[in-house]
Amino acid sequence: MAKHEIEWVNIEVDGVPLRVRKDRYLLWSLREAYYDVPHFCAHKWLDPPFAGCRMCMVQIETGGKMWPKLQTSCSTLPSEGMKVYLKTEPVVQARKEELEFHLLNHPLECPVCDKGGECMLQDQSMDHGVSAGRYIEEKRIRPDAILNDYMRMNYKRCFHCKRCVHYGENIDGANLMKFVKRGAETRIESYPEPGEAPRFSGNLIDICPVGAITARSYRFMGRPWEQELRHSVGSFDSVGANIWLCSRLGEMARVIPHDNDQVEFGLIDDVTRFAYECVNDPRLLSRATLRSQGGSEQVSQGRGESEAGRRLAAVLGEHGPDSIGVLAGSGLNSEEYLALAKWCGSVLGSGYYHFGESLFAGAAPSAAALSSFVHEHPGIDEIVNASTVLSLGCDLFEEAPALGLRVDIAARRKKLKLLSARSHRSDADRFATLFVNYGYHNLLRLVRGLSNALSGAGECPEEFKPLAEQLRSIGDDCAVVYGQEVWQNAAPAELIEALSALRSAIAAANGGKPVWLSPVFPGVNSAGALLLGNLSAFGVSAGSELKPAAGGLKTLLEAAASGKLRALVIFDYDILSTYPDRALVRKALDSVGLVVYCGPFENPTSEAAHIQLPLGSFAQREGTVVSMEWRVQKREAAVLEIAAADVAEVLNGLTTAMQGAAVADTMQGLYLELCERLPQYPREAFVDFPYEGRRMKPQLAEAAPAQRSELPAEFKGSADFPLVLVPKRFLYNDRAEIRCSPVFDQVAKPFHAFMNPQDMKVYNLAAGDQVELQDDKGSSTLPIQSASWVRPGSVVINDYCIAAPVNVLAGFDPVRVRPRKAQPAKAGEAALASSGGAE
Amino acid sequence: MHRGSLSPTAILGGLKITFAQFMGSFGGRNTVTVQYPLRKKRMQERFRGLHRLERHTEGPYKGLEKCIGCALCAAACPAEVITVVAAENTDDERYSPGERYAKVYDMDMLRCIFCGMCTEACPTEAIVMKHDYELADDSRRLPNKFIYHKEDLLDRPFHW
Repeated sequence: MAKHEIEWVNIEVDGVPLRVRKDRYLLWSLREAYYDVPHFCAHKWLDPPFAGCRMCMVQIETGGKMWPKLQTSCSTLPSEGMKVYLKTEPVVQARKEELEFHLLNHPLECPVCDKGGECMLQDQSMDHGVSAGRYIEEKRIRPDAILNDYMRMNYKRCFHCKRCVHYGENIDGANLMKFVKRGAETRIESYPEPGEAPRFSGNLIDICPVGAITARSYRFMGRPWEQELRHSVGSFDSVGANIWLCSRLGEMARVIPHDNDQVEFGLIDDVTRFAYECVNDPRLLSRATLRSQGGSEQVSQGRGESEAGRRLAAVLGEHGPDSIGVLAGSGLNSEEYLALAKWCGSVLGSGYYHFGESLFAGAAPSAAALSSFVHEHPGIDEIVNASTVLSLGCDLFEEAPALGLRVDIAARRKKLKLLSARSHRSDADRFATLFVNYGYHNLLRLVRGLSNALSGAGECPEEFKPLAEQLRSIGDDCAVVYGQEVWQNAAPAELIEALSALRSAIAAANGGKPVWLSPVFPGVNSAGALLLGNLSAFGVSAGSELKPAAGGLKTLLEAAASGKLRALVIFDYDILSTYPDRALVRKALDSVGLVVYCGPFENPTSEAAHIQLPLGSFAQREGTVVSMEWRVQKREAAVLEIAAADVAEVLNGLTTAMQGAAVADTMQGLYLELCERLPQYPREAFVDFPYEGRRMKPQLAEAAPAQRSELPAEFKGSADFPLVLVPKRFLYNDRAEIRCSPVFDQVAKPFHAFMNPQDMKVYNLAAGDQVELQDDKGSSTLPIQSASWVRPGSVVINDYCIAAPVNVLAGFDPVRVRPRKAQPAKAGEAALASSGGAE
Repeated sequence: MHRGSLSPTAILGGLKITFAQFMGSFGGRNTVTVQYPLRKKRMQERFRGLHRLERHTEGPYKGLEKCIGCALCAAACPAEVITVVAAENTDDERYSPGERYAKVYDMDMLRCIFCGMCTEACPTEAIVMKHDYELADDSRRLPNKFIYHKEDLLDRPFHW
């Protein structure tokens, strides 16, 4: 493809020939060739360059003639035959003088500064500066300020490189920092927006070259050189952002990005950055709990495991195989899923297991959907560098923040055409060329309509035609990204088939240009769960140890509810709060005689369990995870004082109690076994797994999508229940890691119902009112906020909120609700009212 | 004096040195040995003995700790003796002049090699080495008496 061709030019650096990219500024090419060019204001995220700090100045000669003045290399493009000088006297002198100016007002408090040791000003003063200052006048002093819930601003340390201002203007758009006044009176000012939960503000800590912007939770936690770093992956979405887990003296100190240019490009969201605090929190479970009619008892982990094993063995002895169901959330490592699958087959003899969330409305994944995941998916690089990105039913900022921000940056720079279609507006489509708003549950209608319009056969609703027109000219390639609205649809399998058909239709309308289809999974290892929960679908022979799964999550829950299953073992999955059919889950948990919950934190599901066992948190368990682009990356365990069990150890304890002995599995052994069984799984040294990960392609027969063109009827509110309920995934929800991290306590989390101002007027509601949402099954009471991004005729609520669980109302089938102003109730009563609804 | 014969004068000449040394050990100019537990020798000015954390003795910060918890001593230490945990001063509870102070300052004296790098690294001259050398103690079990905490080091009485 033409756009990916790289043009090279030959230059000379201090007399040494060098070949550099023509479209790249000199500074980056020089740094890549290991030339030490000092700089402050330039950063790989920021484009165009600001060229304000004047540190990266070089002497340039072209055509045998020296340029009259020094040039900033961060804003100079190379040309053929250019000669660059880095060590000549004027360059060295200029750097020295420039640094002296930068240090004029900078306080010399490096010993107490959190940035000390990783500060660019410190490093460059050592390398290029003078050893003593000549400035004896008084320095500018200004008291510190709190920037937002995460960060603090040390105004006196700021030396006006303007990186943070540019970050606000060119990257995240939040504009937290601005310059005021000019010349010598220039100063930086912060403009936080109270009531807004920030998404990407934490990156300012990394982008600030000095210690002006520092994290509040990391304040005085330790110097950078004292920390133990372990590589891990952002565990709250499926992008697989590379991070370092830094710990000191056995406690988590901070999380910093690991700068994987192929994945997150150093841009991580605030939840990934600050949710480490839950690991230090006393709410992280370390003891087992036994619950009975009489009350609950805290016991040691070993005793809890032996008790659970004894009772599981009793169930197994009485009812035989297929009497115990196993559930696991999407936060486990692939090795742990394998251990679970083996445990189900060899110890429990049960085919009732399910890993990951319910991606297919509780059903087992269809062959066509799996084929689409495997054969039509792009890498994150390919999405970000595509000419056109079509985001369907997916709020990238909330569901895959790191990817969303990268797409947003590319769209802002007009490097890609962003087309967006969703049931409500969002920040993520602020640079979209075209945004199409459709009613919730009408995504299938949109997708089929687009295919019809592109292929010229069948009907297409009028409002979708402009989008179809845009899809006729996709440029070089196109990536279709879809997410939460597909997973929460009543028929996701059908929808994914329709998406595959749309993909073919777009390719056909553009002369066979590459078109990809990328699912945004909800959890960090949803893809791994899909892979290891359906091993037989991926051609792995079951053998005696592995039993194929008996249907999907719904089959399992129905078997439990009907009394076929006598025990449930749940690993780190708050199914009661998140599975759309709450009544079924409640019935299943009540019907089985024994529920064992194993997870790092308490949640409503664990409170319903008879035995609750502790498990290591995301930072304490080691293993590989598979991201949305089938990139296998390793999460290492942080160096912590508290011991934590991984799933293999828990299973070992349970099996020992059940059978008297167990073969202890290690993570490394399980990884090797996984590579053995699944030859496509990248085989590397487990201890030294490559940081950037390896992409894989599971072996699977390609299934042709069924071509169907009939449009489903539009779903709207009815006379009785006029509003359509939209359960939306937010970045800030009630997941345990956010709930148990004190840093998020003050953050304004979106636990409201959001309604369009028009609708609020119709129902006579004011912002902050308690509103009761009723449907034919139950009701939920929660405060309301007016939001213009909500489509009129719908109400948006957070899909994971423990106080007002959405699944009291929502099911897989489309839900309509009737809003009613509730009597003023206190928060506790509101929670009671909402949870009493369906049960 | 010829070879092989014993000369009384030579023997006496040798014994004279022995006798002079013997007599000198009772307090003469050449005395090296001191009667240690009863008498203690005054160490050299630059002798590096047990550490001490200092306070400001004059000026506006009088009475406050000099240590700001920067952990540069820990960074300079080649034997990983020092552990510093910093915390923030508040107006109600002020330990040191600036915003940061050492909440924990532990030294594992069994590891210390008395190189003095910590005192060189200290930007506020808070950690200094005095001339005490009697560091024997009787327990390595918990509580390990060889781990000197901040309260042991701060304002501790010293020899000179």
